[in-house]
Amino acid sequence: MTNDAKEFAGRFARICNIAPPPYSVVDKAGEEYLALHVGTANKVYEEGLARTNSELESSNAFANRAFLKRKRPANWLNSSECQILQGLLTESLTIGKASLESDFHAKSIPFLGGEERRIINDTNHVVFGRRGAGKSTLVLHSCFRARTGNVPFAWIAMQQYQGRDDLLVIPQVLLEIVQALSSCASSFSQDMERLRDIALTMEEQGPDLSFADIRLALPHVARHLLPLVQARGRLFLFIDDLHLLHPSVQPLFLAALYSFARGNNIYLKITAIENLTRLYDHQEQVGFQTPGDAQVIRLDYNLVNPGAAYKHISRILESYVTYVGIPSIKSLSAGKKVLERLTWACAGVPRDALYIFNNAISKAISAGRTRVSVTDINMAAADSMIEKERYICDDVEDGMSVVHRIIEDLKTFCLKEIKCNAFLVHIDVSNPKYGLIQKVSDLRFIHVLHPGITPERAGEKYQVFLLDYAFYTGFRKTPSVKEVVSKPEMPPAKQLRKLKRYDYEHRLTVP
Amino acid sequence: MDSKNFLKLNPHKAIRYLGPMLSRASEKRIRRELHANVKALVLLSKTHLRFARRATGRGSWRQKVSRGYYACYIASRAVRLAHDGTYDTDHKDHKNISKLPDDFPSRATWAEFLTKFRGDRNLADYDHSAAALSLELRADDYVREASSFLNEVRQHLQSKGVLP
Repeated sequence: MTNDAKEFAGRFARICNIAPPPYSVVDKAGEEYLALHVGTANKVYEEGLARTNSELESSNAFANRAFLKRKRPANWLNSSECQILQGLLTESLTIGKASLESDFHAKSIPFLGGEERRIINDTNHVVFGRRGAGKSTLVLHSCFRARTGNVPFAWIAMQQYQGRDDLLVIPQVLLEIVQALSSCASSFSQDMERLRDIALTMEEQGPDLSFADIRLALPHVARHLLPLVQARGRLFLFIDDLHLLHPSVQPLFLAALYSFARGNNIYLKITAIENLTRLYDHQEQVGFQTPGDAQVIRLDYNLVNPGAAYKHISRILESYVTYVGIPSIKSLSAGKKVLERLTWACAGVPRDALYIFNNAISKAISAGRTRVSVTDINMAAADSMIEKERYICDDVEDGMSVVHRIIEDLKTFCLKEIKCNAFLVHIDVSNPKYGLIQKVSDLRFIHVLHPGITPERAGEKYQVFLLDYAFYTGFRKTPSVKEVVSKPEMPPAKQLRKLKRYDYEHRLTVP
Repeated sequence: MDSKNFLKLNPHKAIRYLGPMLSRASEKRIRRELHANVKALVLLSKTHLRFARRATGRGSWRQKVSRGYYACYIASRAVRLAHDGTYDTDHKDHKNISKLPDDFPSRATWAEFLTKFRGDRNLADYDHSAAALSLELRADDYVREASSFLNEVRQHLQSKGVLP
């Protein structure tokens, strides 16, 4: 029996991805049961227990005779629940089609502005947000809703078409759509087969494929897609991370999809980083025009409204923490200041918050602390810079070195020259150098603190930016750098107007 | 055929195997009989729960746990009968209390609860030295959860068209 108990607890731990929990064998009037000691019951344990039972059914005396016994741990950071939390946080950093199997995501995706309700409306949407703002999470949420409502959908991740500037992307995505729909379109197998043929014929033309060829084929696509849409009412096409396609092909790609979607109850849901996206080609007059063709949803809970960002980040973390059964975020972190610092360090970007918080948990555990402290957040934030830098080349195909140069100059400006973490940037949308500053902001190295103030003359508008925390935090904040604000609340306009101006026109040399 | 022998046949298998030989009317009759048995089991389950709820006074924890458990066991039987036609009168069937169909709502959560309940039912019925404090959950919590389980069972069977 001892071996059976050990084997059962070990298998349960492996399935739940935790260290083997303590256990006891309990005598229930002559029948022995196995009590697995956990901090609290949660879905992960319950599902893990069910799987352990079925895997060991024929060989272990405790199969169908084991239950969870709640024992509140003295320190939640060292609990099994915290191990599950860390696993869940890591998984959530890469939301993709695989996340459709996640119980956590099926149940708890918190958004503050009601975007989750808007996105499932019968209209085309373009969701803009910086990397990590929750674009794919919103797609995931919509897919869950579509699945529950029996609406056919296809989720196309543009990652594999990254940097492509050829038109073959269009038939290849079409093939992916057909593939995604085949499982729910068994009664339309002939139509699906025809669609596959149309896409393959286009693909076979190779580099000779022109947009005129594609245009000719698109009515045939509509003809074979519509029977399914008419039978099921509507169809959602999710195009995740459109900006990864080369900007030259983005409007053509959208025009192709829209040509068979328009007026046919097929709705396009596009996600992208705004400053890297070209929805419409004005010269060729093709693409997607907002708000006529699609509504825009902007996901950034950035520092323009620090109070909302703080609430948003707290709510997201709380949903993770309570899902694994830890009573609240307070059980893991030492006071409100930790979450305030986290909100600044992640600049309101949810994925950065998850990454930094997860890292901070590990740092607190290895330092032997009972709760995550502000120091842990500082140190984890410094580490997060490596992660961000890794993605520069993913999102910005060309001009990588320029972006690096601007970042370096901004660092010198803030940390050595003005010794302050915030600065002003003159808004000049016609200036390509201003566009580059926006790119650096999209890549989350600087963050908008105020969208537009007029320090002196009317008509001269300036944006207020905050340098990312990771540039000047380590074990603690660099003391020589003056912080504009330390709490997630809007600093007074008077204070913002006094900030130094970053003169990109003279400082930056762009090839 | 009387009801008990009918259940021994496993009505689901009967329909599956005899399908080609059965008239639509006969198949309908078998299903009707099956649904009537499921309904009767749900009623029995409710009777046990009512008893559990009414138990008061010293030592009533034993009745609460014992009757509450039987309410759940019978309800689990009803679900399993409706799902795959299994109906086992052997005492060993108690170990199957937690084997609910895959599409039963919160299946794993209920399975864990029912296993715990099964252990404590033994305690309540047979262990003369046990006290209410020896239970894994308080007796009243068991009764409350049993009531929720019965509601879940009723809704599940309604969604499957077995109960009206």
